[in-house]
Amino acid sequence: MDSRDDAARWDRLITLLKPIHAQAMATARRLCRSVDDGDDLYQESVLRAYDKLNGLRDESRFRSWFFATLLSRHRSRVRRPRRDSVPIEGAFDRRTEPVGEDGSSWEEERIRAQRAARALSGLPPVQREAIVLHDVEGFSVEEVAEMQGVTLSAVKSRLTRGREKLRRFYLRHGLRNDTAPNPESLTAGAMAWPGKERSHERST
Amino acid sequence: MNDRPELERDLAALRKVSAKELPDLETTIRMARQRVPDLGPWHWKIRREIMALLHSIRTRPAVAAAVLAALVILVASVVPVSYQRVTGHDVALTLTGKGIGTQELRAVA
Repeated sequence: MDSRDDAARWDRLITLLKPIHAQAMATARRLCRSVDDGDDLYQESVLRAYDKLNGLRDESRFRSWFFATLLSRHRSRVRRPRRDSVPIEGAFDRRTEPVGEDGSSWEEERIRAQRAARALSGLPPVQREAIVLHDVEGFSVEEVAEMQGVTLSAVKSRLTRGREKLRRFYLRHGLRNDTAPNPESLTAGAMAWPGKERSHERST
Repeated sequence: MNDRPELERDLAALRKVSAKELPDLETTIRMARQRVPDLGPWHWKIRREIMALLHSIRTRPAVAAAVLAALVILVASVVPVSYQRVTGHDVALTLTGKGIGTQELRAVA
Protein backbone atom coordinates (compact mmCIF):
# COMPACT_ATOMS: atom_id res chain seq x y z
CA MET A 1 0.00 0.00 0.00
CA ASP A 2 1.30 3.39 -0.99
CA SER A 3 1.94 5.61 2.02
CA ARG A 4 0.00 8.51 0.48
CA ASP A 5 -3.02 6.26 0.02
CA ASP A 6 -2.51 5.09 3.56
CA ALA A 7 -2.51 8.63 4.94
CA ALA A 8 -5.50 9.61 2.81
CA ARG A 9 -7.43 6.63 4.07
CA TRP A 10 -6.65 7.52 7.69
CA ASP A 11 -7.71 11.10 7.02
CA ARG A 12 -10.96 9.92 5.51
CA LEU A 13 -11.62 7.63 8.47
CA ILE A 14 -10.87 10.37 11.00
CA THR A 15 -13.21 12.76 9.20
CA LEU A 16 -15.99 10.20 9.21
CA LEU A 17 -15.36 9.03 12.76
CA LYS A 18 -15.19 12.45 14.39
CA PRO A 19 -18.96 13.02 14.74
CA ILE A 20 -19.61 9.59 16.22
CA HIS A 21 -16.38 8.99 18.13
CA ALA A 22 -17.69 9.69 21.64
CA GLN A 23 -20.86 7.67 21.19
CA ALA A 24 -19.12 4.73 19.54
CA MET A 25 -16.40 4.56 22.16
CA ALA A 26 -18.89 4.77 25.01
CA THR A 27 -20.93 2.02 23.35
CA ALA A 28 -17.84 -0.17 23.14
CA ARG A 29 -17.30 0.31 26.87
CA ARG A 30 -20.93 -0.53 27.60
CA LEU A 31 -20.73 -3.74 25.61
CA CYS A 32 -17.67 -4.89 27.52
CA ARG A 33 -16.98 -5.83 31.07
CA SER A 34 -14.67 -2.91 31.73
CA VAL A 35 -13.49 0.45 30.46
CA ASP A 36 -10.16 -1.00 29.33
CA ASP A 37 -11.86 -3.84 27.49
CA GLY A 38 -14.16 -1.35 25.81
CA ASP A 39 -11.29 0.91 24.74
CA ASP A 40 -9.49 -2.12 23.36
CA LEU A 41 -12.59 -3.17 21.41
CA TYR A 42 -12.96 0.32 20.02
CA GLN A 43 -9.34 0.42 18.83
CA GLU A 44 -9.78 -2.97 17.16
CA SER A 45 -12.92 -1.68 15.46
CA VAL A 46 -11.10 1.41 14.21
CA LEU A 47 -8.38 -0.78 12.69
CA ARG A 48 -10.96 -3.04 11.11
CA ALA A 49 -12.86 -0.04 9.75
CA TYR A 50 -9.62 1.24 8.26
CA ASP A 51 -9.05 -2.11 6.53
CA LYS A 52 -12.55 -2.14 5.05
CA LEU A 53 -12.93 1.56 4.37
CA ASN A 54 -12.41 1.27 0.63
CA GLY A 55 -15.51 -0.93 0.51
CA LEU A 56 -17.69 1.83 1.95
CA ARG A 57 -19.56 3.43 -0.94
CA ASP A 58 -22.21 5.53 0.77
CA GLU A 59 -20.61 7.74 3.41
CA SER A 60 -23.99 8.86 4.71
CA ARG A 61 -24.35 5.34 6.11
CA PHE A 62 -21.01 5.43 7.87
CA ARG A 63 -22.49 5.46 11.36
CA SER A 64 -24.43 2.23 11.00
CA TRP A 65 -21.55 0.74 8.99
CA PHE A 66 -19.07 1.50 11.76
CA PHE A 67 -21.39 0.24 14.49
CA ALA A 68 -21.87 -2.97 12.50
CA THR A 69 -18.08 -3.31 12.45
CA LEU A 70 -17.98 -2.66 16.18
CA LEU A 71 -20.57 -5.37 16.82
CA SER A 72 -18.70 -7.78 14.59
CA ARG A 73 -15.47 -7.21 16.53
CA HIS A 74 -17.40 -7.54 19.77
CA ARG A 75 -18.67 -10.99 18.79
CA SER A 76 -15.23 -12.06 17.65
CA ARG A 77 -13.83 -11.08 21.01
CA VAL A 78 -16.57 -12.94 22.84
CA ARG A 79 -15.73 -16.10 20.89
CA ARG A 80 -12.03 -15.67 21.46
CA PRO A 81 -10.66 -17.18 24.68
CA ARG A 82 -9.64 -14.31 26.94
CA ARG A 83 -6.19 -14.18 28.48
CA ASP A 84 -6.53 -10.84 30.18
CA SER A 85 -10.10 -10.71 31.38
CA VAL A 86 -10.71 -7.83 33.78
CA PRO A 87 -12.85 -8.72 36.77
CA ILE A 88 -16.01 -6.69 36.99
CA GLU A 89 -15.17 -5.65 40.55
CA GLY A 90 -12.52 -3.32 39.15
CA ALA A 91 -14.30 -2.46 35.96
CA PHE A 92 -15.07 1.17 36.69
CA ASP A 93 -12.56 2.01 39.37
CA ARG A 94 -10.72 4.63 37.37
CA ARG A 95 -12.59 7.61 38.68
CA THR A 96 -12.04 8.61 42.26
CA GLU A 97 -13.89 11.87 42.81
CA PRO A 98 -16.44 11.46 45.56
CA VAL A 99 -19.42 13.30 44.08
CA GLY A 100 -21.00 13.01 40.64
CA GLU A 101 -22.04 15.89 38.44
CA ASP A 102 -25.65 15.80 39.60
CA GLY A 103 -24.73 15.59 43.26
CA SER A 104 -25.12 11.85 43.50
CA SER A 105 -22.40 9.87 45.15
CA TRP A 106 -19.80 8.69 42.71
CA GLU A 107 -19.51 5.47 44.65
CA GLU A 108 -23.19 4.77 44.14
CA GLU A 109 -22.90 5.51 40.43
CA ARG A 110 -19.90 3.24 40.17
CA ILE A 111 -21.63 0.41 41.99
CA ARG A 112 -24.73 0.78 39.84
CA ALA A 113 -22.69 0.81 36.64
CA GLN A 114 -20.80 -2.23 37.84
CA ARG A 115 -24.05 -4.01 38.57
CA ALA A 116 -25.47 -3.14 35.15
CA ALA A 117 -22.26 -4.34 33.50
CA ARG A 118 -22.46 -7.59 35.40
CA ALA A 119 -26.11 -8.10 34.50
CA LEU A 120 -25.40 -7.35 30.83
CA SER A 121 -22.37 -9.62 30.75
CA GLY A 122 -24.61 -12.59 31.47
CA LEU A 123 -26.67 -12.03 28.33
CA PRO A 124 -25.88 -13.61 24.98
CA PRO A 125 -23.86 -11.10 22.92
CA VAL A 126 -26.62 -10.32 20.44
CA GLN A 127 -29.13 -9.58 23.20
CA ARG A 128 -26.57 -7.48 25.04
CA GLU A 129 -25.92 -5.50 21.88
CA ALA A 130 -29.62 -4.94 21.28
CA ILE A 131 -30.19 -3.75 24.85
CA VAL A 132 -27.15 -1.45 24.84
CA LEU A 133 -27.90 0.04 21.43
CA HIS A 134 -31.63 0.51 21.98
CA ASP A 135 -32.17 0.96 25.70
CA VAL A 136 -28.90 2.70 26.59
CA GLU A 137 -27.83 4.46 23.40
CA GLY A 138 -31.34 5.26 22.23
CA PHE A 139 -31.06 3.90 18.69
CA SER A 140 -34.33 2.95 17.04
CA VAL A 141 -35.22 -0.68 16.40
CA GLU A 142 -34.70 -0.05 12.67
CA GLU A 143 -31.20 1.29 13.27
CA VAL A 144 -30.32 -1.63 15.54
CA ALA A 145 -31.62 -4.05 12.90
CA GLU A 146 -29.38 -2.44 10.29
CA MET A 147 -26.36 -2.55 12.58
CA GLN A 148 -26.95 -6.15 13.60
CA GLY A 149 -27.84 -7.19 10.07
CA VAL A 150 -31.11 -8.82 11.07
CA THR A 151 -34.83 -8.21 10.70
CA LEU A 152 -36.91 -5.90 12.89
CA SER A 153 -38.69 -8.85 14.48
CA ALA A 154 -35.35 -10.42 15.37
CA VAL A 155 -34.28 -7.24 17.16
CA LYS A 156 -37.59 -7.02 18.99
CA SER A 157 -37.24 -10.62 20.05
CA ARG A 158 -33.69 -10.01 21.29
CA LEU A 159 -34.84 -6.97 23.25
CA THR A 160 -37.72 -8.84 24.83
CA ARG A 161 -35.60 -11.82 25.80
CA GLY A 162 -32.75 -9.69 27.01
CA ARG A 163 -34.99 -7.51 29.16
CA GLU A 164 -36.66 -10.57 30.60
CA LYS A 165 -33.29 -12.04 31.57
CA LEU A 166 -32.21 -8.76 33.12
CA ARG A 167 -35.48 -8.56 35.02
CA ARG A 168 -34.95 -12.07 36.34
CA PHE A 169 -31.40 -11.17 37.32
CA TYR A 170 -32.64 -8.23 39.34
CA LEU A 171 -35.48 -10.18 40.90
CA ARG A 172 -33.06 -12.92 41.88
CA HIS A 173 -31.10 -10.34 43.81
CA GLY A 174 -34.19 -8.87 45.41
CA LEU A 175 -34.10 -5.65 43.40
CA ARG A 176 -37.27 -4.24 41.95
CA ASN A 177 -38.17 -0.62 42.70
CA ASP A 178 -36.04 -0.11 45.74
CA THR A 179 -34.48 3.23 46.44
CA ALA A 180 -30.77 3.49 47.16
CA PRO A 181 -28.77 0.33 46.63
CA ASN A 182 -27.33 -1.43 49.59
CA PRO A 183 -23.56 -1.50 48.95
CA GLU A 184 -23.19 -4.83 50.73
CA SER A 185 -25.75 -6.47 48.48
CA LEU A 186 -24.11 -5.00 45.40
CA THR A 187 -20.64 -6.41 45.75
CA ALA A 188 -19.57 -8.29 42.69
CA GLY A 189 -19.51 -11.63 44.43
CA ALA A 190 -23.09 -11.24 45.54
CA MET A 191 -24.22 -10.25 42.06
CA ALA A 192 -22.99 -13.19 40.06
CA TRP A 193 -25.08 -14.87 37.42
CA PRO A 194 -25.81 -18.44 38.42
CA GLY A 195 -23.78 -21.12 36.72
CA LYS A 196 -21.23 -20.45 34.03
CA GLU A 197 -21.29 -16.89 32.82
CA ARG A 198 -19.45 -17.78 29.64
CA SER A 199 -22.04 -20.38 28.71
CA HIS A 200 -24.34 -17.54 27.63
CA GLU A 201 -21.81 -16.11 25.30
CA ARG A 202 -22.43 -18.31 22.27
CA SER A 203 -26.17 -18.68 22.25
CA THR A 204 -28.53 -16.26 20.57
CA MET B 1 -35.75 9.96 40.19
CA ASN B 2 -35.61 7.41 42.99
CA ASP B 3 -38.89 5.75 42.04
CA ARG B 4 -37.44 4.52 38.77
CA PRO B 5 -36.80 0.77 38.54
CA GLU B 6 -33.39 -0.35 39.63
CA LEU B 7 -32.48 -1.65 36.19
CA GLU B 8 -33.26 1.68 34.57
CA ARG B 9 -31.20 3.54 37.15
CA ASP B 10 -28.31 1.14 36.81
CA LEU B 11 -28.31 1.52 33.04
CA ALA B 12 -28.37 5.29 33.46
CA ALA B 13 -25.39 5.02 35.80
CA LEU B 14 -23.59 2.81 33.29
CA ARG B 15 -24.33 5.38 30.59
CA LYS B 16 -22.87 8.13 32.74
CA VAL B 17 -19.84 6.27 34.08
CA SER B 18 -18.79 4.81 30.74
CA ALA B 19 -18.99 8.20 29.01
CA LYS B 20 -16.43 9.80 31.32
CA GLU B 21 -12.79 10.36 30.46
CA LEU B 22 -13.13 9.27 26.87
CA PRO B 23 -9.82 9.62 25.03
CA ASP B 24 -10.09 11.96 22.06
CA LEU B 25 -10.15 10.58 18.54
CA GLU B 26 -6.57 11.52 17.70
CA THR B 27 -5.25 9.71 20.77
CA THR B 28 -7.36 6.67 19.97
CA ILE B 29 -6.16 6.57 16.36
CA ARG B 30 -2.56 6.94 17.45
CA MET B 31 -2.90 4.09 19.95
CA ALA B 32 -4.69 1.92 17.41
CA ARG B 33 -1.97 2.47 14.82
CA GLN B 34 0.70 1.53 17.34
CA ARG B 35 -0.92 -1.81 18.05
CA VAL B 36 0.69 -4.89 16.69
CA PRO B 37 -1.86 -6.30 14.26
CA ASP B 38 -3.48 -9.27 15.92
CA LEU B 39 -3.74 -11.21 12.69
CA GLY B 40 -1.97 -14.45 13.51
CA PRO B 41 -0.83 -16.89 10.84
CA TRP B 42 -2.31 -16.74 7.35
CA HIS B 43 -4.60 -19.71 7.88
CA TRP B 44 -6.20 -17.90 10.82
CA LYS B 45 -6.98 -15.01 8.54
CA ILE B 46 -8.65 -17.33 6.05
CA ARG B 47 -10.55 -18.98 8.88
CA ARG B 48 -11.73 -15.58 10.10
CA GLU B 49 -12.92 -14.64 6.64
CA ILE B 50 -14.82 -17.92 6.30
CA MET B 51 -16.40 -17.48 9.72
CA ALA B 52 -17.42 -13.92 8.82
CA LEU B 53 -18.95 -15.18 5.59
CA LEU B 54 -20.81 -17.96 7.39
CA HIS B 55 -22.06 -15.49 9.96
CA SER B 56 -23.35 -13.08 7.35
CA ILE B 57 -25.08 -15.95 5.53
CA ARG B 58 -26.58 -17.26 8.75
CA THR B 59 -28.08 -13.90 9.64
CA ARG B 60 -29.66 -13.48 6.20
CA PRO B 61 -32.03 -16.38 5.42
CA ALA B 62 -32.78 -15.16 1.90
CA VAL B 63 -29.08 -15.06 1.05
CA ALA B 64 -28.63 -18.49 2.63
CA ALA B 65 -31.41 -19.91 0.42
CA ALA B 66 -29.90 -18.33 -2.69
CA VAL B 67 -26.44 -19.66 -1.84
CA LEU B 68 -27.85 -23.13 -1.23
CA ALA B 69 -29.69 -23.09 -4.56
CA ALA B 70 -26.54 -21.93 -6.33
CA LEU B 71 -24.55 -24.70 -4.68
CA VAL B 72 -27.08 -27.34 -5.74
CA ILE B 73 -26.99 -26.07 -9.34
CA LEU B 74 -23.20 -25.99 -9.26
CA VAL B 75 -22.94 -29.52 -7.92
CA ALA B 76 -25.54 -30.79 -10.38
CA SER B 77 -23.69 -29.23 -13.28
CA VAL B 78 -20.28 -30.51 -12.21
CA VAL B 79 -20.93 -34.03 -10.98
CA PRO B 80 -21.17 -36.35 -14.02
CA VAL B 81 -24.33 -38.41 -14.11
CA SER B 82 -24.75 -40.79 -17.01
CA TYR B 83 -27.63 -40.36 -19.44
CA GLN B 84 -28.81 -43.85 -18.71
CA ARG B 85 -28.92 -43.18 -14.94
CA VAL B 86 -31.01 -40.11 -15.47
CA THR B 87 -33.38 -41.36 -18.16
CA GLY B 88 -33.34 -45.08 -17.44
CA HIS B 89 -32.94 -47.81 -20.02
CA ASP B 90 -35.11 -48.55 -23.00
CA VAL B 91 -36.18 -52.15 -22.79
CA ALA B 92 -37.63 -53.90 -25.82
CA LEU B 93 -39.29 -57.23 -25.34
CA THR B 94 -40.00 -59.45 -28.24
CA LEU B 95 -42.01 -62.61 -27.80
CA THR B 96 -42.33 -65.15 -30.47
CA GLY B 97 -44.26 -68.32 -30.58
CA LYS B 98 -47.71 -69.65 -30.99
CA GLY B 99 -50.61 -69.12 -28.75
CA ILE B 100 -49.35 -65.94 -27.07
CA GLY B 101 -52.34 -63.87 -26.14
CA THR B 102 -53.04 -60.92 -23.91
CA GLN B 103 -53.05 -63.04 -20.79
CA GLU B 104 -49.57 -64.42 -21.46
CA LEU B 105 -48.18 -60.99 -22.37
CA ARG B 106 -49.49 -59.53 -19.15
CA ALA B 107 -47.93 -62.32 -17.15
CA VAL B 108 -44.51 -61.76 -18.76
CA ALA B 109 -44.68 -57.97 -18.34
